[in-house]
Formats: sequence, structure tokens, C-alpha cells
Amino acid sequence: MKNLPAFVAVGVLGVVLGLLLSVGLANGLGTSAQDAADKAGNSSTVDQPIEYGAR
Amino acid sequence: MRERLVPHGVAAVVTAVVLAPLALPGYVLRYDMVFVPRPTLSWEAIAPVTALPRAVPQDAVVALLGQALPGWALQRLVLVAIVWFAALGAARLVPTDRTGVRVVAALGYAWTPYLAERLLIGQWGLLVAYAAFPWLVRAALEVRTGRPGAARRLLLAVAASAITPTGGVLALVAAGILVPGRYPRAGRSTALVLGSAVLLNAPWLVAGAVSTGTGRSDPAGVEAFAARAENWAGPLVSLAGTGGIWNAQATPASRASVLVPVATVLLLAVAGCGVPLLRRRWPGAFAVRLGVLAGGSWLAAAVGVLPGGAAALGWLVASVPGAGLVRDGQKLLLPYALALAVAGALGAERLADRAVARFDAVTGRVVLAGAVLLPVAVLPDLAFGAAGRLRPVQWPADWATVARLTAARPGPVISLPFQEYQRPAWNRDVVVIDPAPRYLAVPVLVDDTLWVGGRAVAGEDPRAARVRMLIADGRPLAAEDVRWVLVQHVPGPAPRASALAGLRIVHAGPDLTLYENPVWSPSPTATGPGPVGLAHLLAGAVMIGIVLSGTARRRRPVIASRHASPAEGEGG
Repeated sequence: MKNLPAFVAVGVLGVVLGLLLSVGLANGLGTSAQDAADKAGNSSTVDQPIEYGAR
Repeated sequence: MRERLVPHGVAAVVTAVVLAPLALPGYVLRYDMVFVPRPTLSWEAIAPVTALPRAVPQDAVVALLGQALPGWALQRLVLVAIVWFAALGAARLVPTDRTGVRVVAALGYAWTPYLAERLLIGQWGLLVAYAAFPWLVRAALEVRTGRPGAARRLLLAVAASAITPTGGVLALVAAGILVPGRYPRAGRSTALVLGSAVLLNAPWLVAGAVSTGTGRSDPAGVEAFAARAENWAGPLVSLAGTGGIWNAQATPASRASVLVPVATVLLLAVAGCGVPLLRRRWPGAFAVRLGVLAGGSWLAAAVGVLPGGAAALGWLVASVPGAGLVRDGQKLLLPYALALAVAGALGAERLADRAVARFDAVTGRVVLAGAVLLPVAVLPDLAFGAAGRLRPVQWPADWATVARLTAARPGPVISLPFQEYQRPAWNRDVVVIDPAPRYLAVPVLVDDTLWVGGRAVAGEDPRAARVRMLIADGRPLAAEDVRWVLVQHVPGPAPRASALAGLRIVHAGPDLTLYENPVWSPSPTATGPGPVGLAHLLAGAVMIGIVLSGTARRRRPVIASRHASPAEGEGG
């Protein structure tokens, strides 16, 4: 019982950080997401100028 | 000892995790980041004649260092130094005696959306200023408290920041806000620091002043480069979390997470808890000054998306020479990012202390551990080169061949497709600024029109505008004052056959074709250093003076002690 607050703190932090991490990883580590990010706005035909970026 | 070693250890781990793919051979070529095997030192690199000096003195510094180091080593040295010094600087700046809190500050500053996004867009020069900023703030604090050598350390941080115009301006403004005040010899210190800081910024200031372009920018760039909403919460919250770069392609995908705004609010709340501690621990109103700087930088970053802000910025960049510097607002967030990291670390300390008081010491440590891991949990895809997006590639052999041929018979080059950014297949289809001006030891003309989301943002170079018209009309490039035409085999508008009429093929490789203009003859226009070269020399002299003053300072006490110590006297 003495260590209950620490266990609760670890549990809460684990849930919060785990949630953030899992959602972030799901967004960030999908191969298609990376490719899309790198090529977004530049999938046009070869005759158009290459874009510096896309909003 | 532990207090000194742990921040270095954390900085080393963060650097290794973020830049892991750079252990592979080759070069990371991404957007504005181009490193070449052997950078060449040319007047064009030192002083662009017609374009705005966006890479002054960055290109000259790279070329100079490139005489001693190969490009691949230089790139790794710079990138490692950026992440390492950012983490270490924030850890040392935070006013605490607890190592855990320093670790929170290190992660809070070196694992940010700002660093990730500017790394992904390749603006390493700006990130040098980012890494130098905690050191600048610490030195400014020491100048106010009269610590010996503080002004020299501050100017070293300013010199590093001034490798790009944006970094130089940010450092100058920061010094202007943090150094003046009421303390012994304040006037002398302020004059010395600000005067030297202006001289350190002289290369790009003079280059901009003597450029043959107007220095004014296309107002269309304000909308194109304004802060961007990365998720449902809008651009202002993205900026509050130090993200919000205009370019979706340079944004880590995790920034689109629905939980990112929640984490941002959490971070702001923790930082808010830390503000009273910061005000108490820093002397005078230094925390307030940093707060003003941070708040001002957030506001400046947000102007483009505030009501009426875009119109005002549009007028500014179209009317005031050099004001185009501020159209990409998010990059101005730098002081805000540091203030958030420092206040956030102190907020975590305060919360941890409360947890200790209410529960036990272990709970307090758990709170600190949570604060350390929060930035990583929010932005997991900064790890391993932004989830593999910073991957080195090898330069095709064609580039070395073309560099050799053009160096043997020097003359101006036009690089085609006539566009500022290229997307070579050999670079894994990653967009990169045309490498020709940095790879070749001769002046290279590229188009400076920027295309963003299908819209053109006009460049400032009148010579590029003239050649663009020539190419659009299909008139022969041989009529232009150009010795070489380099055609890169990459996507983009292909040159018409009529544009290449009269040129002779000198090299035809799988990646590049080089044409020579047989009727070209050298024009009598002299190339040389001029005022821009003198400005570089002036800034270099100031830099040498700063370094030498430190050496002299270190030597002086040793000499004095020799005379003062009987044990080391003659025969002693």
C-alpha cells in the first residue's frame, strides 16, 4: 500500500504516453504515409515544374 | 560530475537516435540541404550577384570548411553538432540543481516539431541558430551578472547563428532584448555586443544591399509560406506546439494525430507551472525579457494567419527590400521553443516536488520520467532520421564528370529543367534544391520561381526571369551569355530542341547531359570580392578577435600566477 501512489502515477503515465505514442506511431510509421508525405504535390506529369512543397 | 556527464549522455543518445541513418555512407539530400563531395570556394558562393542572399554566408562557410573536410563528413559533423548542442544547451540553461530536470529540458528542446520540420526541409543553417540559442541566452544572463568572458561566449553564439540571415536577425533581436538593462557596465557591454553582432551579420546585409535585384518579394509567398494547420486544432495551436511549418511534405506524419493538440495544451500547462520558478531563479527581470522575446516570436510566426495579418505582411514583403525573410513565419518560433522547453522543465520540477510532498519520492521521479518521455511520445517519428526520411544516397558519377569538364573550361552554366528544385530518381524521388550551383565550381543559373501547391511564387533574380522567357519562347540558349547548358534527366519541363540549337554535346551520361556553347567568349565583366567580400573579411576578423580574446583571457591568469607563486619562481 505504501507504494500505491507511485503505482497509480506509473499507470496513468503509461496510459497517457502509450496512447500518444500509439496514435503517433500509427500516423507516422505507415509506409504509405511517408511516401505520400515525400511525394505529395509532386505526382504531376513530368512537364510541370517540381514543387517546393504543398500545403 | 554526474550533473555534467548526464546531459552529455542524453545529448549523445538523442543525437544517435535522431540521426541513426547517417551511419550509412552517402549524403542526405533533401529540399534546402545539399552537401557535395568537395565544395568549391567561388565568388558566386560568397556573393550571389542577382539573387537575395538567402545562403550567405552559409555557402561560403561550407566551402571554406570543405577545403579541410570531405562533404559527407562535414554534413555529419554539422547535423550531429546541431542536435547535440541543442540538447546540451537547454540542459545547461535551465536554472535547477536537479539532473532529472536538466534531462527534461534537453528532450524538450532537442525533440521538438520545430527541429523535426526544419530538418525535413533541410534548413540546417537555421538549426545551427536553434542549437546556438540556449548558449546565447545563457551568455546574455552571464553578461548581466558580470561573469568573465560572457560577452565573448555570447558573440560566439551570435556568430554561429548568423550563418543564415534569419538566424542572424533572431540572434541580433535576442541580444537587443536580453543584454541592455541596469547593471554594472551595462552601456559598454550592450554597445560591444550589439556593435559586434551587427558586424557579424555584415556579409548577408551587404550582399543584400549590393544585389542587382530589387530585394522585394512576391506577396503571393505570404499565403504560400504561412503557418499551416497540422491537425483539427488549426495553425495557432500547431505553432503553440512549435510545429506548423507551411510544407506538408516536411511535416512528420504524427503531427496529424488527433491527440497532438491535447498534448500541446498539457505542455503549455506544465510550462505555465514553471514560469514562477523561472522568475524566482533568474535575476532581475531576465525571465520577463525572455518571455517577451518568446511571445513576440510566436506572434511574428502567427501574423500570416491572423486576421489582416496576411495583407499587412504582403504589403511589407512587396515594399520593403529584404522583408521576404519573414514570410515563412514558423521559422521565427525559435525563441518560443526554447522558452517552452525551459519553463516546461521547471514546471515538471514543481509538479514532481508536489508529488513528493503529497505522496513519496518515487512518485515524484515518475512525474519527471513522464515529462522526459512526453516529447518522444508525441513525436515518435523523429526517431531514426524522421522514420527513415533522412536517408543518405550516393552522388551519381555523372556529377563528378560534369564538375571536372566545367572546371577545366570555366564559364557560366544554365541548369535545366529550369526550376529551383529537382526530384532525381537517384535521390529516391526526394525533392532537393538544384545541386548544380553547389557542385560545380562555376556560376550556375537556376530558376528561382517557387511552386507551392500548384501556385507560382515569383523569384527575385532578374537574370533568371530573362532566361525563363527565352526558354518559354523556344529561343536558342546559345544567344545567352552562357558557356554550358546542363540538362538533368529528372522530371520537369523538358527543354525544346530549338532552345538547345547550336550547342555541342560534351558529355552524355545516364543522369546528366552537358552541352557547350561554341560561340561563347568570356565577357570583360570582372568578378571579385567587392564590398561583399570585404564584409566577409570584416565578419571573419571579428570572429578571430572573439576567439583570440578568449585565448588571451585564459592565458593571463596563468602568467600572473607564475609571477605570484613563490613555488614556481626561479629555482622553485
